[in-house]
Amino acid sequence: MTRDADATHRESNDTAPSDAAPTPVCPPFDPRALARRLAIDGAVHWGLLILVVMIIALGRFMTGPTAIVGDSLVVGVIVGWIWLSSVGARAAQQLPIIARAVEIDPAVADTQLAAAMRRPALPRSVRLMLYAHLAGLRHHQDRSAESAAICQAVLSRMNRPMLLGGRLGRGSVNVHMRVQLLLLLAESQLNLNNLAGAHLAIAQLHQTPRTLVQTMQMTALQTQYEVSAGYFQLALNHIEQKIRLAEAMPWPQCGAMHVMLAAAAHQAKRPDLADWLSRRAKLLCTADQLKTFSMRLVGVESCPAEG
Amino acid sequence: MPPPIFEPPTAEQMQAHLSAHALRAPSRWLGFLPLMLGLGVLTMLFFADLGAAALLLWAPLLGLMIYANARAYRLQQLQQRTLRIQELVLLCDYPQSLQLAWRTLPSLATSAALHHQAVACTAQCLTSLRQPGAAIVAYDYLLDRLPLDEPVAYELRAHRAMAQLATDRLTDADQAIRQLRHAHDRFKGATLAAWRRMAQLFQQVRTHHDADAVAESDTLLDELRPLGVEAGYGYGLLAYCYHRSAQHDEDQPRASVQARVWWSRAALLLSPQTLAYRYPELEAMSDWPLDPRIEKS
Repeated sequence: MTRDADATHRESNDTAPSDAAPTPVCPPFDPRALARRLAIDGAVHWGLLILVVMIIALGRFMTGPTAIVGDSLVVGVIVGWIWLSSVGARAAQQLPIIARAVEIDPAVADTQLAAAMRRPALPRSVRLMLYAHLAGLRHHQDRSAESAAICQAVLSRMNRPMLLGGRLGRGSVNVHMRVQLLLLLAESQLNLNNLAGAHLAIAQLHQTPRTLVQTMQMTALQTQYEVSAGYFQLALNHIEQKIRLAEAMPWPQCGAMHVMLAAAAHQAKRPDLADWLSRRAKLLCTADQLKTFSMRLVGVESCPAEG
Repeated sequence: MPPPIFEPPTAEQMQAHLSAHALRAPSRWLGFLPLMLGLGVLTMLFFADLGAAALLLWAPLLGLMIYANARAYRLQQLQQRTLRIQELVLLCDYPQSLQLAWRTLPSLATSAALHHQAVACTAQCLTSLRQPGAAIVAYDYLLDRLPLDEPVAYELRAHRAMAQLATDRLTDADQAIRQLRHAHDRFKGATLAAWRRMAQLFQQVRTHHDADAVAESDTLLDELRPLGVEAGYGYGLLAYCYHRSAQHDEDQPRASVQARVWWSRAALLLSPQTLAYRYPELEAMSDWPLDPRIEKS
């Protein structure tokens, strides 16, 4: 190293805050860590509930000064319960902010998620939602394998029957989260070229109630799966309905659907339909988008108007 | 007896409906109710020596939980209905969506977000069902309540400008489009900029500035692309400008060809009937034969 370079190096070391702690981000996903955190959360919540019941039950036998102790214990446990609830509520309030950050600024979302996940004794649903957002974040960061692993772990936890015979996936919020996770899983599997995994996720999506927007997303993923797997005729089934859904999609997705359907029609030897879809795709997509969408369909001969 | 057919409201009916079911703040006492009940129960637990009867004091808390659950369920139902209204708009089922929005609006008076969504859907349906006067009332209502800098507000202003053009309020529309031009660079490439461009094109049609529309046509494909298939309306309007200028232009053959090219692009994205229903000016071209070779030229 020359003297000048050495001086510059020293100077930069002087100006940079040497003791600045690195911004915390979420570590690589480990299913055992998720299981451990959920077990701790559950133990704290159930422990407090059992304590309340015990104190109330024993309170009947307390008289005189011991009754005051019992009442104080009840108040203490209730205060503890309220504190826990407020921690959970604050984390729940952060969820929409994190969801937005995932779309706009993944680095900030990573930091926010790391901070939220460190909180102790979160409600189970909030903890799972945080992991669902982590799956979305990893998907945005093109870490499809990790995203798929998180989706699978969270989905398996959601399916597990809880105490008192309840299931987490009953409320509409949880159904919504389940569908979002399945959509993410299907897309991640398609990115990883794991067609069997994508098929499984799409099959589960068909059995879950969805909103129209989710149905559109599912249709797009299913078409991509069918075209990638070579089921061209299947991709063209109910074509009018698929085009109607595509027209309601935001324009890049609408264009992508047209490109995929055009490729399917070309392969299924329906030149008129392929030509009509390709001409529409050329109006709906920019040249760069057409190239990108065609590249997604690896191994499928592109449609005539595109080439 | 068949059920009465739902007719889209007039501007006066829309005004009356919005005034009768305007947004209002939820009762302040409702927010304090859980806290007051909880404090009351705790105080009684401390001071009352009721033995086993103390357990009865938990009854109000139980009632409170049931009440809170019922409220949450009601809100969920309203969210579902608002979502259904939006879905019907997405599927272009405007009469059904308008009917549902009209009937749901009274229940949404204490939920600002849902109320705004329902009114926005109502305005969009009214525009699509060619009721621009009533749509302007709904847009005015929303724009009075939304922050001016919200991207949604810009988009609503573009839609209101188009409704104003449709009702011949040309000065108001011109002022609105001029104001939107300042925001154009900020939202370039987004849907909002595309709607502003569409409003400008519609203005050129309404004010017979065909030459201006033709002169700016080079960038139209890229500028309207974010609208998806709805860009077809813009291509149809440009085709109409070419068609009109072909009747006076010196370069008549070129203008005629361009009119057919843009019309075939429009008809590729939307049916000629749909185009002519939204913009009656386009009726003149709705029976033109469609040939893919024209569009490719």
